Amino acid sequence: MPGGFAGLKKLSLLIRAPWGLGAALVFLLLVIGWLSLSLGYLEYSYQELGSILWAKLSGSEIGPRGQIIWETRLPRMATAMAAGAALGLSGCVFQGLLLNPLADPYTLGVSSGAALGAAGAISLGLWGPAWLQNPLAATTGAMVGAVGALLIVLALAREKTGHYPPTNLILSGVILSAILSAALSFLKYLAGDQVSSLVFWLLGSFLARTWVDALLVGCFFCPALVVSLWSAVDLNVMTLGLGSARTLGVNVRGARARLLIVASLAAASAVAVSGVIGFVGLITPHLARLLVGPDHRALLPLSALSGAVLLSAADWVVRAVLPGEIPVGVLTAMLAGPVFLVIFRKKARQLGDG
Amino acid sequence: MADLKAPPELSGSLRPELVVKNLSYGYGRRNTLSDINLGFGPGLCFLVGPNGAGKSTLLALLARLISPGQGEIRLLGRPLEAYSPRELARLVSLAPQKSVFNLAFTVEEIVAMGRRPYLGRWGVLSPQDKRVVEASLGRLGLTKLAGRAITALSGGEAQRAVIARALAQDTLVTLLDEPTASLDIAQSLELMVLLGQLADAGRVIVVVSHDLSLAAVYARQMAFLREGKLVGQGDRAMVFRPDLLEKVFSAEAKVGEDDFTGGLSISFRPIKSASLAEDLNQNLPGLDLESRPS
Repeated sequence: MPGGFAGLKKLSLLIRAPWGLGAALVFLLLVIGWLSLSLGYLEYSYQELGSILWAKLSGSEIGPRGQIIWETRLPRMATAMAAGAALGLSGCVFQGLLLNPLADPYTLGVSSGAALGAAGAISLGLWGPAWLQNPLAATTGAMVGAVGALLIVLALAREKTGHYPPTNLILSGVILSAILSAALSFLKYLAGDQVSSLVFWLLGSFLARTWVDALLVGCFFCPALVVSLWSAVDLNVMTLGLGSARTLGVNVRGARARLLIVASLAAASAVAVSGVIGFVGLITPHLARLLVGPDHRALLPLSALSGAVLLSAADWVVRAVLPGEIPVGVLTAMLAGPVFLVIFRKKARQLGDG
Repeated sequence: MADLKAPPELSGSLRPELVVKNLSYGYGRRNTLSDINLGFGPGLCFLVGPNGAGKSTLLALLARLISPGQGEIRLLGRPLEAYSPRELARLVSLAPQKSVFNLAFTVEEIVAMGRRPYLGRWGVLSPQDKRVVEASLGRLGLTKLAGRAITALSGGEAQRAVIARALAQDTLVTLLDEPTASLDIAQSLELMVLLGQLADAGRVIVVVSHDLSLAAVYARQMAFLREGKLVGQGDRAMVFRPDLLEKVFSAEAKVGEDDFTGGLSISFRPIKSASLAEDLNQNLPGLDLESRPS
């Protein structure tokens, strides 16, 4: 069938263009959304899903089966998508900004800071006053911890000239992460019998997430997307090195501060609602780069979309496919860890050649 | 083919576009540059000196990558600090010696980044921008490599791409740090002819180079740096004097007219230092320096 073949070829060309790829990823996201809503302990047909959503939106009663969709599965799915998008976007910004393919929220200490902040708030909730046992306390603690860790890393990495060399940033991030992990272990030790709630949060999970969580990540993700797209061309130029970027007319200091702040806050909000979910922010930009190339104008939105697809798919797998409910962070780490090793090995070999 | 012979007269204008006044710059206590006074007019100027003379530092100061400790640099009568990043990028371009490419942009995309100071927020190239990019690619013989990933290029090809990017910036002043370091002889000569054409068109071209034989043929203006100080400046005939060369490079120099290139020819040999030989003989018994071929 030559006609069908030509059609396929046309389709593959269309998909390779950034817009086509974006459309394909959105379609994939919708499919995963539908799967994660309809499958699980209870199963729903798409007619039933449609009527539940229609009833809810038109303000009528939705019944207990409807409540499960609206109060449990939908917010959980939205949170996973938003967190995945936030991690994918911030990883992409960090990698471009720090000129380092291994950079992500973890390398900068942002995630460890968020984890310690949240764990601190949870621990305080275990012994402290009742108002601290609010789920929002952990979220707030995570945001504070993330921003605090970023400020410390920037202060450590700053040179006299006002520059932040990429190697300094990475090293400071790694050192600070090590210290923060120790503090976290201390908290776990103190938590004693009640360590399980802390540990489960740290492993990363979307169990029992609410609309508030989804909204929180969305509130940080959307400005981050707008600001980073606004600076996408500058980010392209900055991958040539800060000196070259400056001679090409980029206000390096302003662009870097802007991007670091929005990307860190987006990553922090993701960690705050989901716990520590490893490797998504690291792997997603690499996948997106394989698909569309290095231009951040296309790369940033596609990286965010791929992050949303990956994390919501992973969450659906742990909830509905695998027996029991293992934390999604464990699954992403086990799947993405080897990919990380391949990237590292490839990079090391390149450096060895050069 | 352009005229390979450089005109004999000094091409520095009376009111140079780029002026360096009492410039000093230092890390810590030591000054890497002290009290430099220098003017760059239209033409091809070579900045020459031994390692550690402060050539690259001066270039970084001219590109405003670092700020002077003392003194000032004026471009078209305004201090360099008074320009916005975008304004400056439309007037001064820099082709650094070493570039690291982290992402697999194509050569064309890299060269198109030279148009960044003229573009809007979304970086869309106008037909005029595209013509400039194409011309810059062509001038450095990169047209065939335009679609290749920059990370897959050889050192010389990547260096040409960086120079093409600086040319695409279409600036009054172009600064080049060791532009011929990874180029072969034919490519180096082609580049010199190209830079000479730009200089003839009224551009200020400043080249930091170790290649004195290129400078002796193609430079219209010269500046010698040694240990952070300016030790000689002017046209070729003024600065390529054996005594000055010996002072700058710590080697015995011979300068001659060269009919073949129409420029000067320069050759060096080590300074015969009796005290050094004695010193070595005393400290390394058994090693007879006198009987060895030099």
